[in-house]
Amino acid sequence: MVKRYFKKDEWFGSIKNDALAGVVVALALIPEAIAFSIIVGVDPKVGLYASFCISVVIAFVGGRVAMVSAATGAMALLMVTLVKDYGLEYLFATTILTGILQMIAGYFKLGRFMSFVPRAVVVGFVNALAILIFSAQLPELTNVTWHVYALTLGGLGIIYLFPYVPKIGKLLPSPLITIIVITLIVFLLDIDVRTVGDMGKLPDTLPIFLLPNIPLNFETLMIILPYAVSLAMVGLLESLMTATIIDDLTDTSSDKNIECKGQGIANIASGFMGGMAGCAMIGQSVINIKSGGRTRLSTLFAGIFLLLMVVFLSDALVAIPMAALVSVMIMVSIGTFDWGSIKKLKTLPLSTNLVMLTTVIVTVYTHNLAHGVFSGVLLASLFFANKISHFMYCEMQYDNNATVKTYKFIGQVFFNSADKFYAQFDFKEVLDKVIIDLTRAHFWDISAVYALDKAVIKLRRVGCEVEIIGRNEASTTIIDRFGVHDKPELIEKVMGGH
Amino acid sequence: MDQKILVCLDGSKLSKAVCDYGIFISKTLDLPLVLLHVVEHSHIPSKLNLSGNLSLGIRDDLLEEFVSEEMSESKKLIQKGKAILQEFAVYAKENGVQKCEILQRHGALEDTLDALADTIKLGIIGLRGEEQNEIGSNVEELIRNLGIPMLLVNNDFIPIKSILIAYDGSEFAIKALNAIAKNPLFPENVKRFVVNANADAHASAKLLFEAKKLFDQKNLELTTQVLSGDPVQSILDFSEKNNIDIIAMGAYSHNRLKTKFFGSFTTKIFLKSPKPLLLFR
Repeated sequence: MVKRYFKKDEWFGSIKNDALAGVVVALALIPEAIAFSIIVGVDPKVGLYASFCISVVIAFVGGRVAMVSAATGAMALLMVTLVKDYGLEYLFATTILTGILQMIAGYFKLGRFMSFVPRAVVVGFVNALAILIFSAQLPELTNVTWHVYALTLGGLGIIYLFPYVPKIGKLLPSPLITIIVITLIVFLLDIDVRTVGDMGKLPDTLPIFLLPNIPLNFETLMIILPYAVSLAMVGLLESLMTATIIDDLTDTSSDKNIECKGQGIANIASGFMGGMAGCAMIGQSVINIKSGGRTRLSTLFAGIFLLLMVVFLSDALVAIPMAALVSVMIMVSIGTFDWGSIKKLKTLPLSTNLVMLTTVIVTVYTHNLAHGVFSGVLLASLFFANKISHFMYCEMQYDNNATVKTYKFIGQVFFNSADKFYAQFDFKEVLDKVIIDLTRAHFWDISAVYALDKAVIKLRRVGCEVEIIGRNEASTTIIDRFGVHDKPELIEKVMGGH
Repeated sequence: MDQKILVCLDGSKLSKAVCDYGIFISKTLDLPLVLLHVVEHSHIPSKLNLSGNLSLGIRDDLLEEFVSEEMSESKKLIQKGKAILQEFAVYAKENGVQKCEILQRHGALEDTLDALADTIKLGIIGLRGEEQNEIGSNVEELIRNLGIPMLLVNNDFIPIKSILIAYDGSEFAIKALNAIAKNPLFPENVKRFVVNANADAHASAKLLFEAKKLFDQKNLELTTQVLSGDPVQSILDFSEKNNIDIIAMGAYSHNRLKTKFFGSFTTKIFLKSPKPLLLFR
């Protein structure tokens, strides 16, 4: 690829489309920022400032053009105990540290490790995220009057039916119509339901630069570091996965390491501006793409519109019933869910489905997407090792007198197939000589070497000459490095209790 | 490594002139001619949908929608490009080009040229008059990023009988000078002019003397001229007065930042010049 410094087409592909998409996206960012600020236990303004800072900064420094990043549910869920135990100032400090860690990850090009995350884990991640976003709405739907259910269902009805209205259906964002209609109903009928105004302070000014008011010592670091590590990992995982989704949708490419650095810079900016840590969001990014947003301008506009709406319309904003925001968030959760993966459950192999479900279950249980991903990757690796270990078998042959036996191994010998390798040898047979032919075997690790050593020693103990032939190049290196069968002083060690 | 003359065709009004220059140069140098059409995808959806809602399976649905839309768009572009290439391939054959290839690639022009750079002796590209400002910045990026000489065609074809080299002693200008001094593209009977526009006449004279020496070594005739006044205007005036057919120069010797503030000499020249520009970098 040609290296370009300022890519004009990343900014000015279609200004009209991008500006309109920016408005639509901003409308979907506000509910998420408010809803998850409440879950974290801070004023909605923290989430809204974060969404503004992150989307504006990432527009300039992100690696994936047109991907929407802001305050997200996945990140918010990790901060709950931090805020409860230590307060808001520590949240800002953690946000800054998260950004620093993400920048470091970007400089060390850790984005490449995404190749270890199998497709099934990505699908599980996305589905778990959808479930988390949905379940985060439940507190607003429990212990409430029937009005709230009616309003929420009405809101969802408008969201999904309004686009079918001829002409204006495709011109006006249905989430906006939902918010306006539900707010008007509550206002005109004077229904007593919770509104945004009941949930805490909204921004009344532009965000200002501030240093977190915390003691700068080792103790503080030890408090915020574990949170920052979790946040940094979840943020990068979600951002890189979303980037891949947008890459696929738009048939364009993105730079994953620049994205890591960009997420870091955006979070540092958010922390200093009184916001919380955020990352890329799947639902809103898809809304952006669907609305025609294709350039950096779309995400920049989204951030600016968000702030303008929040600061200048804050009087109207406080009147919005939570039920309206819950409807929008349920829509985001539905859009995040990978419906195709459910339809494909029947046709995919059981191991793939187990990996996907494990990722979902661990995530939903721990509320930490990083745990889900690690479980999924671990399980997928074990399944993989298991599959590969089937690719090993042994052909046996005797010479004319039946005194010399050749074991010919074919396939992969490593930790998971090492026992199978050893089990091929029949030590009860009385033979003069055993030839172990490794021409077509590949030794991967020390377990394989150990198994060979053990077999050789055992054969020698029962009075067999042993000859090993045709080790291929790779097997030679690994055996030379770890092998002990020709070093008598180590024999006892290998044989252990035998 | 084969060296080819690459002609970028997009079906615009200048495509014929671009092809004519390609034919002329290909025949003069006896190099194969490659006619290139790049299928550039816009990736901008045609339908406006601001409904902003997300339904179940939205990503699969969106992907399907984009794929089918882009597929028909790509097919149309490919068809159009094929027709253009066929037309000009026939045209080139009729005009006596022996080896003529056609090539169609997906992607941005810049990336395509970059990928082909090793096999290209000279690239020829047309600049559409009505979009010059827009094109200007694209061409700047193109020239800056590619190491191959580029001929920018902005007018109808005229056989090359005289060449003007704008020489300022910069790295790329020296490259331009050397390339032209030994290039069989410009046979001995081509009239050569080297000019330098500089406030300091002494420095100018010195630069031109060096240039003259280089051409003397090759036994090539050369007219040198010190120009005064606004460099862009004086070069254009000189070129008009002497019936210059092509202007050659080293391109974009200043860094981007400087160019952003002071504007690029190269860009100014190619926006104003009625004659094609041969740029070296």
